[in-house]
Amino acid sequence: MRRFVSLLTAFAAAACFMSVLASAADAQEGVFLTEADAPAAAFGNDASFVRQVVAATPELRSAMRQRLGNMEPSVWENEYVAFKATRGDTLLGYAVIVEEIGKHRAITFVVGVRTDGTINDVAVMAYREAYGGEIKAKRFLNQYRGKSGSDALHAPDDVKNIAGATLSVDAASRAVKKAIAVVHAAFGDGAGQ
Amino acid sequence: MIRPATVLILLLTLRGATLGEPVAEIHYIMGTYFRISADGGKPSATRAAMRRCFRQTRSLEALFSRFDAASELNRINHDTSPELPISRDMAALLTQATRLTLATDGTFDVAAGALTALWRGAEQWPGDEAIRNAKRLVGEEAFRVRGRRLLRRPGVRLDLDGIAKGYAVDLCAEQLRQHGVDSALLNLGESSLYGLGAPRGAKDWEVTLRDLNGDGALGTIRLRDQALSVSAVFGHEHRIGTQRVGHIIDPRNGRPLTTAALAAVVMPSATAAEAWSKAVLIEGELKTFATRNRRAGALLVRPGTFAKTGRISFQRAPVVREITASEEPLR
Repeated sequence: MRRFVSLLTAFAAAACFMSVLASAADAQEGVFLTEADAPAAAFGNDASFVRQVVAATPELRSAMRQRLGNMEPSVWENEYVAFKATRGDTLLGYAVIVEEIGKHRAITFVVGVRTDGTINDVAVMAYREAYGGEIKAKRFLNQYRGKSGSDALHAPDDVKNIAGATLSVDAASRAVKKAIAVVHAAFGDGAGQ
Repeated sequence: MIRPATVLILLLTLRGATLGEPVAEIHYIMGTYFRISADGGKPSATRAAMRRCFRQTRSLEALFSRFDAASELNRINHDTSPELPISRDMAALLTQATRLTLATDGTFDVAAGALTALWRGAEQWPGDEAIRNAKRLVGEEAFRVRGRRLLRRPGVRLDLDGIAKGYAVDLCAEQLRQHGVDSALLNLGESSLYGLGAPRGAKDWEVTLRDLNGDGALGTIRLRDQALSVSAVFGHEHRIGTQRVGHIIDPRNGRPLTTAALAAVVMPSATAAEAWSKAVLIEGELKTFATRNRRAGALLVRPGTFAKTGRISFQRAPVVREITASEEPLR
């Protein structure tokens, strides 16, 4: 019994430790959804999903370019992960994972495209830079001489919650258009027109 | 014999398991990012409640968006009937908007659609007659809501850009509460926020407020069961010739604001906070706001000046801090 409790305690402690590590890692990497979670974020938990990989062949890219018109994606993926979404016998559409560059680095999105080509939902899966960024102290020594030295040298904390005038989001808009183009090119009319 | 330390570790583990991990998702809705961060509770139940919020907000977008040709707003604006049926949410939003127009002495007015359309993307300065004609279509008498029917004067155009996000955030906060989420920060486009409860281990949600340029931080605002709305004159801007023109139009004179300023308003309702953040910018002072809102607070920032009133927990950044990265370039 004692040995069992000791083993259980060790397991629980290890699980706690791994959970903390995982949370910390996710916060720093800005991971919000895994690939497994992504299709439900786009189409809901009550849909069924079948994963497919669509190779970005020259033909697919050509069809996508026709659909995109003047919009040039910032990223051309080598392949697209798409999930066919159904509810019962009804095809709902496709959840497509795409990337577009934000301020500096790629943001990964899952885009739910309905069979009529409209959007069911769009969620951010991951950022490569901390959302909201870090706040770094600019040291204007002349202005702040005499102030608390600890303030000027304060180590920055990650900032997750930011308020300001409404954020415009070009990467998300491009991601949506690209996802629609992928669905149209890969799955044809009736699923992305 | 089981050691006390063993029992303690097991109890702590169990407590951690029942408290749950923080959950956050970001969806692209209403042309911007809607981030919901929730703390505590079972992650699967919390995530389900958050997704109901996102779906609800997307449904509201289909009603209120001026970018969606099929939206209810565009149907209303293109319909010449003096009276027409409207959805429950449209009726609720317009009813609140009417009260806010009265409360702000007309500085906030969703009936200013003719004015905002006149200035939006204008390449030349509109003439006085065009401004006068558009101005005739705004004001308290522009429309009325009776139950689920909208009555309005001919030519009146509605513009819900200044209030729709707040309405969506209010409904979302209520949705989360109803589904047992008591700790969440809702952030719709950085300009309309609600701090529901507080995160684990803290008394309130801490939010960093961008400065006038957008890439620095003015300080932090703390929220607990309160909404925050931020509006800036040059949040969206364009130029007519060499003149910078903000997107906020003063319904009283029919002209856009052209001097840099930022207003941050904290109130119980996100819908009201949105309206008042525009009103504060247009008034250019905090006196009217302070007189009419006892359970609220606000900041008004201009280059070189800073004013604060009422109940707002704001701590100024001690040094100039730069927000070095965000997910998207700021406009």
